[in-house]
Amino acid sequence: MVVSILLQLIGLFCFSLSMDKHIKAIFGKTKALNRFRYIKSFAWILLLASGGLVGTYPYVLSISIVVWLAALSMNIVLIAIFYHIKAVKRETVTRLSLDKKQLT
Amino acid sequence: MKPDFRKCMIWLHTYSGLFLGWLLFAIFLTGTLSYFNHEISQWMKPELVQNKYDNNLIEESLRLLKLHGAGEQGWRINLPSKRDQLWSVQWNTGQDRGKLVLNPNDISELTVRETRGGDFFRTFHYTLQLREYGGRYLAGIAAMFMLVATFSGIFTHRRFFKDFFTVRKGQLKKTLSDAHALIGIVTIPFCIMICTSGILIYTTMFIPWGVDHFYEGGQREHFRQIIPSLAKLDKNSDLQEPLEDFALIYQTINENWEGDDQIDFITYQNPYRTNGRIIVQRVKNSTISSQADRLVFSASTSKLLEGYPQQSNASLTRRVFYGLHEAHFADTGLRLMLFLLGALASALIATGSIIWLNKRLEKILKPHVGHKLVERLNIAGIAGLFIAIIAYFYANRILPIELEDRASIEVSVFLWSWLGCLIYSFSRPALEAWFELILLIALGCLFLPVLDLMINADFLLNALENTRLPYLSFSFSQVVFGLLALKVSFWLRAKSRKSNKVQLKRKIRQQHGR
Repeated sequence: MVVSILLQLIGLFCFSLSMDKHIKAIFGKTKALNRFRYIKSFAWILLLASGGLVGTYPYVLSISIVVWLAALSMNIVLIAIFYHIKAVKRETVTRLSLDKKQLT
Repeated sequence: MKPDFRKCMIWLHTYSGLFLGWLLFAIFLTGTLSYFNHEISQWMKPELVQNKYDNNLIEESLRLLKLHGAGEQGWRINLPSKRDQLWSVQWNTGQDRGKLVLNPNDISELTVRETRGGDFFRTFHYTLQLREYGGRYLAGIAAMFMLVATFSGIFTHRRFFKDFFTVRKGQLKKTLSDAHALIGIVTIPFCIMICTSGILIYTTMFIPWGVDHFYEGGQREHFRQIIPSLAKLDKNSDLQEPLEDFALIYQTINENWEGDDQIDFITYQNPYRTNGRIIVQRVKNSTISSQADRLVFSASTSKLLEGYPQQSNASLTRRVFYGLHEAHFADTGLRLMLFLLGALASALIATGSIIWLNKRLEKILKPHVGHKLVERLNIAGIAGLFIAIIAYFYANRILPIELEDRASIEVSVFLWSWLGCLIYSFSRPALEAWFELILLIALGCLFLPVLDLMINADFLLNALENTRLPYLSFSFSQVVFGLLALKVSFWLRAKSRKSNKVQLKRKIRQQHGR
């Protein structure tokens, strides 16, 4: 179950990296954009693999599916929080460097 | 001119959300709390003691039932579980009922305060405390509106996938609308599941015409026919002493059901007759359906009987939706995830109502009465509901235990506090009312464990000593929520001061201009 949920998290993270906006949020530049074009397929593979592991959960299948879907939603929230923190940090760094420039 | 589809969807999303937003928020928030109704009940019944399932409890229950429920037509033994530590026995003959809550330490009667506990939230979220006045219909209509708002919301947010995972910081409006969109995406499956299952539970009540047409006795007859039941027992069969040795029954249970602590409750029908039977209900964590497995035994031979007939597909479908809605199958981890999803769905509704108002206020110079009304209802509907919930917990601790009709008074405290918040929201400037009410929520939550200690320190100390996790985790969550509310209230105060300064500057400029 843990492996499946981890795969789901990594899959969703890869999925987010296939979006220009989020690459910029992490790397701060668009140069690397092309490198991440193929990551979407990888993300889907990971998500499918995670879904395939639902049968290994310690519950009956119907409950396992509910657990998988609930974990999917929670992982989306986790990644959104990660990007939010990243954006806040970047904003603070930019503001600090602007202040430094103004001082000098 | 052909109307633009997206614009139609935006209109539908906006007004379906606004029209019943406050009601939906109340339904979702209380519904979310009822995921932990047993844990809340544990806290609200502090007299309960640490209790674990044990076969000895069944034997002791039978002994007590023979003592108190001699000659009765029905007995019931409710066994404690990890979530619900209540051990009780019940007996009845027709409408006359008796009940004993038991202390496992000395097998004596335990006096527990009269309260509806966490079950109040469960009942409130679908009856709105208006069961006889169409409350369930209102809740059903609200669920239908929520479904409309969910689907129209998908078309409303154009940059749905482009903005996936994005929550901008800075302006409150941007953060709120990003959070609304993100929560909307995250909770789509949850909202669809919870609203559809909620409607399907009462589908024959919302659309009764088919049932009324085909069944002479209406819904009662319909349910009697589709819900599997056992044959009625002859109440005049030969007399016999109730079964005492459950060894054979335990053995059969172990052969049929895997795992430990599988019994939820036991019903003993006609215990003093030869045709008596014992129905053992399994705990609900092994099936998604709201109807767990049952085994039926003969009370005279302890042999396994044929049991309940198989459910029809229609009945099973309803049971599955019922089970999905109530999530009795969920263990702590899944329950926590569902709780968080419910909390997010409540936040979705709350942010939607606030965004509606903010968007309109920034376009106009002077808000008219409709805007003011929405503003106040937002405050009372969102912050006021939290205060009402906290007041309900306070009432549980402060009201005298021997008070007559205590449980109803607790509920009245909840409703009057909510009304009080509505009146208060009209008497203060909006931002200040938000700040003050959220500060009150924070202080209320933080002081609740202190009050618990002040009233009777033994409750918390016993819970600590016996590691009564439901009790302790609920106390801990009060502190966490209180701290969170405190942070929000300080942030709002800073915002309120900033807004006051801007207004003051604007006034000064206007005066100088003149």
